[in-house]
Amino acid sequence: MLLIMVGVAMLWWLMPEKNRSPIRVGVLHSLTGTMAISEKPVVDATLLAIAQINQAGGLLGRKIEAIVVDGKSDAAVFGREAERLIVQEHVAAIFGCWTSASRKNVKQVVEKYHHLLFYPLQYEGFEASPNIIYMGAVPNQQIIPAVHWALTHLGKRIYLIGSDYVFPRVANWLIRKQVQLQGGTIVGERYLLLGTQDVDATVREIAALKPDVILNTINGDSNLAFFHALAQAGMTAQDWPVMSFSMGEAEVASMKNKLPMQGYYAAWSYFQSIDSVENRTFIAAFKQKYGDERVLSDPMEAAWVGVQLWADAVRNANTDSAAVVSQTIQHRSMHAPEGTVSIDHATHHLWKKSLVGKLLADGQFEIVWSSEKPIAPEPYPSFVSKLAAKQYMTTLQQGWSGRWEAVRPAKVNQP
Amino acid sequence: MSGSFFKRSLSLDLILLLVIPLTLFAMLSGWFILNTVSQESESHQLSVLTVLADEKAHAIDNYLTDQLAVIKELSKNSVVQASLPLLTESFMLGRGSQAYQRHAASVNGFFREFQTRWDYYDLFLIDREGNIVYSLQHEADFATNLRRGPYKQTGLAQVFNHSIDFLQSSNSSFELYHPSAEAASFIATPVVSDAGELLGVIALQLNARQFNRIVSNLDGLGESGEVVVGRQQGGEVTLISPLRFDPQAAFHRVIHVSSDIALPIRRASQGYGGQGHLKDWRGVEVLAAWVYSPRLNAGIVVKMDAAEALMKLALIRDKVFIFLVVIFMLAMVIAMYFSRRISRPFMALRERVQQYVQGHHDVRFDPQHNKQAEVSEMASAFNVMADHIQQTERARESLIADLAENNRLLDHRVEEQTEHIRAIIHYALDGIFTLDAKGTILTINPAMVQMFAYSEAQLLGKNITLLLSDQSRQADGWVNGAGALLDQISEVQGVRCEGEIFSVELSLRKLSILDQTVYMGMVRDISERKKRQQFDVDQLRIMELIADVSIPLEAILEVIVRAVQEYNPALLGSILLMDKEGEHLIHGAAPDLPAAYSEALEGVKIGPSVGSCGTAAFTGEPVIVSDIDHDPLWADYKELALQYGLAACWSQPIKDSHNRVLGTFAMYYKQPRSPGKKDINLLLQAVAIAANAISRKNADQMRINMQSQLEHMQRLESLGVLAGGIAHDFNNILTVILGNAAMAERKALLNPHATQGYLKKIVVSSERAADLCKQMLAYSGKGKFVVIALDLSSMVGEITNLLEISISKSVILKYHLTDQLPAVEADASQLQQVIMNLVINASDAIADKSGVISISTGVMHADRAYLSGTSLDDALPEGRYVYLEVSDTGSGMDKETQEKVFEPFFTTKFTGHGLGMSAVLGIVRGHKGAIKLYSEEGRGTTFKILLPISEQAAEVVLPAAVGEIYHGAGKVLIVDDEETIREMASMMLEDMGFASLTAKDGLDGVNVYRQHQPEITCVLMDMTMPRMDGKTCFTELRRINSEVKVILSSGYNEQEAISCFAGQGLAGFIQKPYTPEALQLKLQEILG
Repeated sequence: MLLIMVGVAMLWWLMPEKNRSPIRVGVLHSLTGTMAISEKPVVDATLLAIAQINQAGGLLGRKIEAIVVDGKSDAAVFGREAERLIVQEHVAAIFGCWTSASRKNVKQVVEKYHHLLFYPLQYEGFEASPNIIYMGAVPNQQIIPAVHWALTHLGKRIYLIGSDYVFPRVANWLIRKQVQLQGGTIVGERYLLLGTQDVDATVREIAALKPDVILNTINGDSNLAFFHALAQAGMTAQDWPVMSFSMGEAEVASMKNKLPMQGYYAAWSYFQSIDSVENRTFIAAFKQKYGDERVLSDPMEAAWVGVQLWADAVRNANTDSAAVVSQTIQHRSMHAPEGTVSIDHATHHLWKKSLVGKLLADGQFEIVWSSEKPIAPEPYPSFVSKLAAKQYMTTLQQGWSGRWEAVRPAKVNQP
Repeated sequence: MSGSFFKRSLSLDLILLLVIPLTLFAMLSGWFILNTVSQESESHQLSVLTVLADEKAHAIDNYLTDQLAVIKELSKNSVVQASLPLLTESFMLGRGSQAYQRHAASVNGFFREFQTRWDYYDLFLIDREGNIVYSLQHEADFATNLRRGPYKQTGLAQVFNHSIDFLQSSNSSFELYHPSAEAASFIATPVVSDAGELLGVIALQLNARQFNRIVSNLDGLGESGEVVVGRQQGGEVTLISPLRFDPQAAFHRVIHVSSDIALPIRRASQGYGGQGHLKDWRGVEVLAAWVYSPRLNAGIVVKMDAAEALMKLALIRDKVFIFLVVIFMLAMVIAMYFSRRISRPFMALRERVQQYVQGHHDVRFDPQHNKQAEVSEMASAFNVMADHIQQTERARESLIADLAENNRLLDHRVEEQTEHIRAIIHYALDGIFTLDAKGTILTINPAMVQMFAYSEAQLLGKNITLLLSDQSRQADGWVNGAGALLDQISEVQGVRCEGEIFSVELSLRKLSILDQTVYMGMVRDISERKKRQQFDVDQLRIMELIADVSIPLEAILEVIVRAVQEYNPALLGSILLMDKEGEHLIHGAAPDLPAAYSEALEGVKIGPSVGSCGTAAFTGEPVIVSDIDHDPLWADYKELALQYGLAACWSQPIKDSHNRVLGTFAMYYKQPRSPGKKDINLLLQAVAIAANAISRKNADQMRINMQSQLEHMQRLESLGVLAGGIAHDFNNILTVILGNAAMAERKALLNPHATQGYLKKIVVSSERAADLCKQMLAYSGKGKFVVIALDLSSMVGEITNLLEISISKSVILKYHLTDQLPAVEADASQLQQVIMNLVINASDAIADKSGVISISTGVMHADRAYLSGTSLDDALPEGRYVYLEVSDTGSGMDKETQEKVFEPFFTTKFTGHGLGMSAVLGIVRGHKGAIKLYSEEGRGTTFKILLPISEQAAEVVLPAAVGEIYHGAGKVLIVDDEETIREMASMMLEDMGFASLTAKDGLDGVNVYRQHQPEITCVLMDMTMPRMDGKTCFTELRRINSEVKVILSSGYNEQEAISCFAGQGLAGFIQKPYTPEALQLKLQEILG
């Protein structure tokens, strides 16, 4: 008897530990400031993924605990908070950033600590950090196919408008080169300070120049002002088509009740209107958690996919160590709501499809064009040289006194 | 060991005990180790396969990206940049044109060398429109258009479109390419000139051999490992590379997506990664890991037969099994050895025991023989047991002998105790008996026989009901066994043999003696005790009667005598009382003695030999005469006694606490008889009660006498107080009368009509005097206690004058009298005295300071709580009372004084008798009223008298009815509180030629004097006045003018009055009442 009891006790002792501390992850986005309107929904999608994984039993037998941190729409704050998350909160990974300016600051931190950032947004490219998994599209997966489509379907005379920070600048720099190669003309190019409402001069200029298509890389709530000014000037989507690269369902949702948005175009890798089993399940789960009136957009889906891929890699590696996961994640792929996505091991970017959507009255996009299959990410497009790109970026940064965005007036900076 | 192997035995138990746990433990740990190892091993192998799968994907990806890098470089090559526009241009002229042929030939060498070096299948140059303008192999695809031509669905077309539309290089996946009739993959990239112009696209056809070589590299996959690469298209997965076990698989083996085999490749080609332990397409168990390659758009599965992957595990399993068998065998051997070793000594022990049983009682063990401690101890224990049994045998025999002796002794003791108990029952004072279940008497003790006055023989065998009265028999119902009497002490009526019924206490218990139910009972005669109790009750009743003053002494004495007679019906009691002189005995109480006998003895003079009572009263000692006929003390009276059948008389003197004889108590008997102890006690007790009754009644009488004397004395005292005031008042009145009379006399000569006013004043004053006299008379009134219904308010109104003269002049009297008061039944003169006393006391409390005395009357409701707080709580009923309240602003009383204020002879005054307040209390009590006292030291005192409301209306009392020539000059100030005096004096002075000023008291006087000082020649001042008296006023006037001439006028005599002003420069004194002449003389004397 005694021997049996000793045996049972030993068995128990040898069993793997059941009860462990949760795996902590950082969720770093702007909850205040001009970017909050865009970034808060991304936080929601990130937390949805975490909740779903926890509900299904967690990860390696442990729960995931999200530490949500406010970047306050300030790149410097993003850098500081990322360092705090890694050093003080001991997170296993960070999910966050929207603007390239904030990503570039966080990039320095995660590289310093050999850590891991999941970045959910499409961006300008020219970057491939071993410590960042880029969930969004680079220009060759979004802008270039969309510009080609616009040139083919809307016309060759192009007007460029964007917010004055690194992504729109670089995107337009690339578009200029592409349009040149594919026989179009750039009739005008303008940049607005992040968060500005002062768009009248630009709209007047557009009215005068009469472009075939306007390529819009405005970010944040200036979009509302821009489209409002167009409507004020009587410039309809039909006659003045706009192709936006940073305006998804979430942004439209806040505008559609005030403005007629029907007929405008946007280029993304994901639209809520995608018809697939995975997407329907995803939308249902999101609406159940946050309400029927909420909509999903590309960065939200990318953020959700990021968490899922990370979790898959952690399972595969049997550890949450950022250093190990950044290796094991390299060959992960999954059936995401947007379709099959895979991590490109050479660039840490995602293979994604490219889509062009046309806005319907209900704020959803009708997909008017889709690439046949996922496009390989090319952070450094082959038709521009790395050297030229680097020189252009350096010039930009110097022009902004070492930052990655034009200096904003204080009152806009702190809404 | 004996018995079969399977029979339960110590040895078998031991073997099982050792073998089962050991085997279980070994099996359990073996199972656990195997399980853990196999889990770990499988998960390790799967990890290895996953790494291999990743590496395989990596290798394929690297291979393709390398090719992409090559083609990107190639696109920038100057030959390509230069030749593409030329070839495009010349191609327009036709592929057979000279220009084209020349241009193509110029680049053929370069491209062939490139192709051979990198082992490509083919190389294409394509213009912007999609025309293949150059190809190395010149297969069917050459010169077709990729946008419109027959090959627009091929991989080549895909990569071309991608390059031209999106300006990106790309690859297509491996698939059958018809122009080449084999599997092919293409890569392409745009050709952009340095000037920034899009020239076209360059594409390469990859060799499947190289790809297959990479896929077929099975390093690390052992003997059974396999790599599967498959691409999903439509609903099917097509394998695109050969398998180890099926070299022809590429593009031949197709798996349907919804098939239930080859899960890994299905999942992988759909874009999922994973790993698992499952069956492959051959039905063999395998471990597999799979990934998706986006660049190849295909799934990659790396798998290995489970048997091989887990080979080491099988080896470990075998070793563990052999190890277990060895442990089991070893355990068996050890167990058998130990079981033999342990069981052997038990066998030996069994043999010895068997010998012992067969009668060999001397068999013993040698304890040294066995080495194990337990066995050696057991051997010793066996030896001890054997020894012990021998000893026990011997001891038993001697024990039997001892027991026989013991029995004999016990018999003796039982006999002794039985005798003891029998004696107790025999000599008990209580009757003790036993009954059977039907109540038949079984045994009985002598006390019982005596109590019921039967003989023992008469009772034995009779039913117990014989001894119970009919009443008890019915009430307690013996019929149903002992019934209600059982297990308690009850009081029942017994019947003696001669029929006398008496109270007994009966206790009855049910006993069981030798299985027979018997009732045991005890009876106690309690008839004597009962009588005693009755007497005690009587005694208490008598005490209550004594306390009631309204019951006359004779009635009480009669009750006493009856109580004694009731206690002992045989006697006749008599109480004789001593008369006041202490020489004769008079009748007290003798309810049952013949009246004629009592009358004959009335007033008998006591003496040394006057029967029993006369002698006892004379000597103060008890006199016991047992036989009247022969006792010398009764020589003179025996005929009288014998005539009424009285044969014995015991007499006891009744004495008070001072040992004075108050009377005698006598007990007569009709037979000669000597008293027993009980009789003496009864006599003494009766005497004590009688003494108490007589003393109390005497004391009551004395108290009543005292009270009336007290009231009388008090009245005299207050009259004394009155007298002084009355004298003063009378003097004032007389002054007015005299003055007016003199004036009238003088005027009468000149003008008889002018005398009218004077005469009227005389009459008024005389009437006032008469009224005062009347009140005095009424007050001193020798008042009999005449109770009439009267109105308290009007009664107070009648004596206002008396009150005012009784109090200090510096005290103001205020009246708050309620009209229409309900009547009270009271003696008017007594109530007047009460008011008088209270007012005088109040005035005294204020002493010579200024103060106010308020007299109020009214009606109030007094509840029990209020009545309890009064100084007279004679259980007055709650209800409406008329009250009279006298309050002052005097010095008040401390607690101690308040408590004593109603005690007779308590006084705080120098000249008091201390009877006033006790008289008040007596009067209020006499009127069935209450008195309440509030007092606060330094604040004042209030007495409130409550009187019960009469049902009769107040009798209307008529309201009580209520008087030459010197020529002076200058003004005279008259200071007097009496207005008539002021008026008369000013009249007299004006008649003499003076002008006059008046002031109504000292203070006023000082003020007037201050205003008119120069004109005032003289001040005529009264001595006693409210607010400021004469003495103080004089001092104040002197302060204003030290020369002031003041004539003092007072009702007091001169010595007394001016003694207060001795040596202070008083100008003169004039005695009230004064005449105008006297005043004139005095003024002349002073003013000259």
